[in-house]
Amino acid sequence: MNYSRLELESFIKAIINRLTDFDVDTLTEQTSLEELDLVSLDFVTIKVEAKNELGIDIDLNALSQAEIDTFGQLMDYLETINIGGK
Amino acid sequence: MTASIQHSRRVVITGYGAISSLGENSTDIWQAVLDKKIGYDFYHNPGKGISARVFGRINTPLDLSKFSKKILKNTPRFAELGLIAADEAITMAFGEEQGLSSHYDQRECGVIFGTGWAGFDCSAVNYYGYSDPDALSASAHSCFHSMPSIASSVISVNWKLKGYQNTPIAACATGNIAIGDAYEIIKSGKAKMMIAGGSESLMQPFTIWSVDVLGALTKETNDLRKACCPFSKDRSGFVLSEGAAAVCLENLEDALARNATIYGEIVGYANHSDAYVNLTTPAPDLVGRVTTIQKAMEYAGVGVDDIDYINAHGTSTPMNDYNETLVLKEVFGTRAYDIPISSTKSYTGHLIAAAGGIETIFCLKGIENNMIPATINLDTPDPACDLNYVPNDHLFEQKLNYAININYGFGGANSCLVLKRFD
Repeated sequence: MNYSRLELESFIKAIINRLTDFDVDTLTEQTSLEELDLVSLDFVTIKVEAKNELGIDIDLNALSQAEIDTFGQLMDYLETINIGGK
Repeated sequence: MTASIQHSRRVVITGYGAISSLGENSTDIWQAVLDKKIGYDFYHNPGKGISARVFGRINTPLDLSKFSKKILKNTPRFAELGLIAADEAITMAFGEEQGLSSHYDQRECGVIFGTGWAGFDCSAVNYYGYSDPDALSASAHSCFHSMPSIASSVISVNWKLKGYQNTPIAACATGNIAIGDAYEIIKSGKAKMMIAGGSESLMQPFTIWSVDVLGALTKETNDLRKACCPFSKDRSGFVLSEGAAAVCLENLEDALARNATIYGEIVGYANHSDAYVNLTTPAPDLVGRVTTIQKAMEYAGVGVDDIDYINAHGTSTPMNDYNETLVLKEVFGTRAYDIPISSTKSYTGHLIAAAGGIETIFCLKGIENNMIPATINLDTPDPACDLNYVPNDHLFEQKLNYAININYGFGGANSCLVLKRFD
């Protein structure tokens, strides 16, 4: 099944809330990834949990080359690969 | 920071902290000791094939609100306990603002924080998550949850301690060895301030079974007073408990320069191995244990007549307590019968890697209060353990200038610290 953007946002926000000190209630499409203070291990967590919980495969090499700067762009990227999930 | 290293510096304790099933900080834990509270209870379904029914578990949620989620995401429970203990020690030493950087270059401050079995609990859970087709997944943090050095790491990160970092792993002797090694690092001039101690949390059925199957845990199923009764005829094994303890050590001159309160001085430390093939049995030749105590006293420049209190390892296993009695007689001769000796594991259970740290704190509390904590639950003294084990009643108004803290561990690890009243 494909997940709505809202469902994907909720999934990613829960991880950000667990792994960082950023207040996810203030998170907007324009929030930069730098502000979120996500480190490389956090993207591994997102990859592992996206695969297990949503059935979405995230290629971390492709993600790093996608020039993603903001939370909104991250969600755009996840939407584009949100095909063929469970 | 200068590169020159001077030798034979004096090392003092300026703070300490602990958490166990007796309390969330060292003050509450010490009060529980004064009140003769027992920090363990019955758990009737610990897991498949486990005989033991008594454990020391921290049943209240841990208060980790002071720590960043960026640190906690990598932190298994044993290391969370370590953070809490280190936080209390640093607050005690430097005040609520924890202003270490006002007094020290970060590179002169380090951490030696040990563990016996580290994130064994997490490893068991993550292995299930990885291998069971019905489980979602292992954690992406599995590597760090299993890494024995994670507690040293997160303590270093949280307080930006950029000096010496290491993680001793020596079973039940770990905490004492961590403090002893940190003492040596400051004494050698390689650091000015060190956080040292240990932590342990083994609560998953498989990890408990791995100890229980050795026959090491208490067999008592009815009477808590018999569950952990060091040096008593009724003893049947140790009580597995969780917790952490840490001390803040400083070079004396630096501690004095910043007007720190000094709670005691470490003046001797030694560590000699049993090198005995049966890893759970104290070596019958006594050499490792005896040499450890003798050398610690020799390095401290004290004799058998100087020691006012011994905090024994006193696990409540049949073998340890008898062997320990023989060792103390060998080291102290007839003087062994006069020195008050107690096992504070009778209150806490066995905190494994945290035991050395919390028992060092008990020695400091005893020195501070001129008081020797009793060995509680010592209702039926074993005739073979015939030293002054301070049964059931605390000793007050004691002259307490020198105390020694002894911890031994599976695998033949032995450790002894000599602590001195600071004056």
